[in-house]
Amino acid sequence: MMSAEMPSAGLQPAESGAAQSQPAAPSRLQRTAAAARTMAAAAALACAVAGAAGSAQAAATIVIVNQNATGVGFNDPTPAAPVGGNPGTTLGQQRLYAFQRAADIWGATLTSNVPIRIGASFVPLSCTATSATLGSAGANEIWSDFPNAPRANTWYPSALASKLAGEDVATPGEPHIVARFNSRVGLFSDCLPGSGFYLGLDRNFGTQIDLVTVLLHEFAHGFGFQTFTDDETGAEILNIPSIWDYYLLNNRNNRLWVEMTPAERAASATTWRGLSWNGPIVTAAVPQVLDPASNLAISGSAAGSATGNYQVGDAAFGPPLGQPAVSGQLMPVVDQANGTGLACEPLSNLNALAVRGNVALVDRGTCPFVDKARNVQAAGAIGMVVADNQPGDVSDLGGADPTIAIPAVRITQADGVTLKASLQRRSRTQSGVLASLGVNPNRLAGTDSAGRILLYTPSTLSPGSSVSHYTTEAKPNQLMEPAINVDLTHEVTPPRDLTFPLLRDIGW
Amino acid sequence: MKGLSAKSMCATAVVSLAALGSGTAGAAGVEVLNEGFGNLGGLDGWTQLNASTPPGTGWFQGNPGIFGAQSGAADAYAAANYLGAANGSGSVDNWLITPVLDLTGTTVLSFFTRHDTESNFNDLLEVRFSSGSGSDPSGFSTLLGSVGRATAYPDDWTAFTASIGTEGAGRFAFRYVGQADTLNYVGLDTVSVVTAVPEPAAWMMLAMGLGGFGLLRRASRQ
Repeated sequence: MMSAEMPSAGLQPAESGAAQSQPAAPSRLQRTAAAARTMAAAAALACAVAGAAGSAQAAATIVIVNQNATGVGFNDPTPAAPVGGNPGTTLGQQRLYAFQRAADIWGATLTSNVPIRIGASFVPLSCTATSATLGSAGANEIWSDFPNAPRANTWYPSALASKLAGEDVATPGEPHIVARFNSRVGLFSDCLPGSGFYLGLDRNFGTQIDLVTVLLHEFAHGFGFQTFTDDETGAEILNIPSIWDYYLLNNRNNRLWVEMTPAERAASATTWRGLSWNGPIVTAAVPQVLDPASNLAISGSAAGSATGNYQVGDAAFGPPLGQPAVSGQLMPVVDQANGTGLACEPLSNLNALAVRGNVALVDRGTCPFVDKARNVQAAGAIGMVVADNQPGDVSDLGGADPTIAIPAVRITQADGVTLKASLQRRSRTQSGVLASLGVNPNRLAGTDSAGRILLYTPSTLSPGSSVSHYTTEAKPNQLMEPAINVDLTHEVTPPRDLTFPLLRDIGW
Repeated sequence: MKGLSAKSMCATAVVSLAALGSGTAGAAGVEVLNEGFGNLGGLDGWTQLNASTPPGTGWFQGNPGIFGAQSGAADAYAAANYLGAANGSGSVDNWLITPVLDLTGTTVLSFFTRHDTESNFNDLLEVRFSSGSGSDPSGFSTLLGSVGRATAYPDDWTAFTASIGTEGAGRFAFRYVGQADTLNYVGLDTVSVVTAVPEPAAWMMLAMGLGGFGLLRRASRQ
């Protein structure tokens, strides 16, 4: 049997549009491949603490191991008023209650005879005024060739290995999962000021970040929602594949990660839409969970070479795209000297004339997406398309504003250039370029042509995030996307979420 | 009628610009140009010159999503818009100049134009003439007339004619001009030049044109 210490996977809040800069890189724990460990003592420990909890159907006991020192993190004595069903009276207590809620949800979902120990702490993680790493978590140890291992010569995360072995395989004194959360979010001017963790348990998070949701996400990484193979080099730890890698399929050539060379894996990790999850339980659940993919169709007598379907990122605000589609002439907002249109202020008369009754094309930047949507909506636009202001793959539009009643989507910078070129022959009120915001009934959001859900593989590697998350294109948003979206519930199972089906695919 | 008054920078030329209620003039003479703008990029001998500040989009193939051509395929017309100045900010001065034409005596230019129907903009199309073969704007000192600005730019395709007496090589120019924020979108179609026109016919046509334009102006006030 072998084990190694594990990297973590990071999590960030969904981008709401103001940031010009790239989000901060998520933190990574050490990626050292530790020497193989024996587990003689671990078995004894497992016997000592094993105990059942919850229902007979599905149950696992999850134990939070407080790794904070006195006075900080879970032990922070700062007084706090009870909020949203969280009865704690200090910041530290409230954090613990939120942890317990997340642990209870997963405990009622997973099955294991071995209590799962999560070593948890609130510590400073990277952040800026506009972005932050909310948390990072992963298996503390990984094991291969333990008793009853389903696959030989394959890494399993410690908690799963213990379940499958029927006994605790972890090194004595070591937790199965290590989870760290950003202690500074929302509390300091350089760390997402104003949008800290919501510690209530009722999802009334408003403009804050729902901590229970973040915890559910990070715990899932610890249960095994991650590869242990290096997403940058494609190198396996000690040349042993992860159980994850048996289900990672290059959907261009139908080859699995376990069949590839390290270089092929590394290339696959940065092939946008190129990597699918090939597990049968997830794939069977996909039609139940995911909605038809959003689509921007461009047509019209003046569209010319811009005619066609465009991939879009969905907005967290406004109505979702559906049938019938919202259609109108595409008209750009122009309010900057360089010809771009930020729509961060109420529109000028000329811009209002352009977008009234039409679909507004605006540029990303300077202000939140919801500000842009509010401004074009006030001017009479029936929909909004946001063109990215940086190269890259299509991303979502974050933010929340219940007053926004028009649909909005985001397109890549390159597609924005194409569409703008088609609009040069416009008049003040017409372009002859028809934009239709709707859905593709033949494709579920975030899936490949065979109906498998895609993994998150942006063209620019996001270490710790790439490969170990679902695509950002899933709709409704999934818990295990790389960013937390406001429409998430606390559900981890179908018909809302595909997290648990994946854990079942790998052996839970 | 002051928008119609014949103006001439050239003492030898007799010029006018008039809108006709009906299409063809039917005058005798030699047609030396007949252009329907089926392919603006493939025009033979025409010159485009965008003197806008800062320069943006030149004259372009008509946009059938805004309105269709006067004749031919829906996009078979030339168009210019407020983006002649880059990003619609600045001053538009956008020229479309005919090939060099060999002209003899009374010459009649006819064309159709219209604009997008949104009010509150003051599209302006000047029609100019230059003797010789040059395409420098300074050579087009003869202003044959203007469409728009002082008179309403037509909302539907409307024929205009201008006549000039000249001998030798010459070129006509269509100049879309004005502050970008006052402009919208105009189309130009079916440009014809007939030269060596018998004198009486030319004057008769001018008279018809004046009448036609008078009707147009009355209609536009309603």
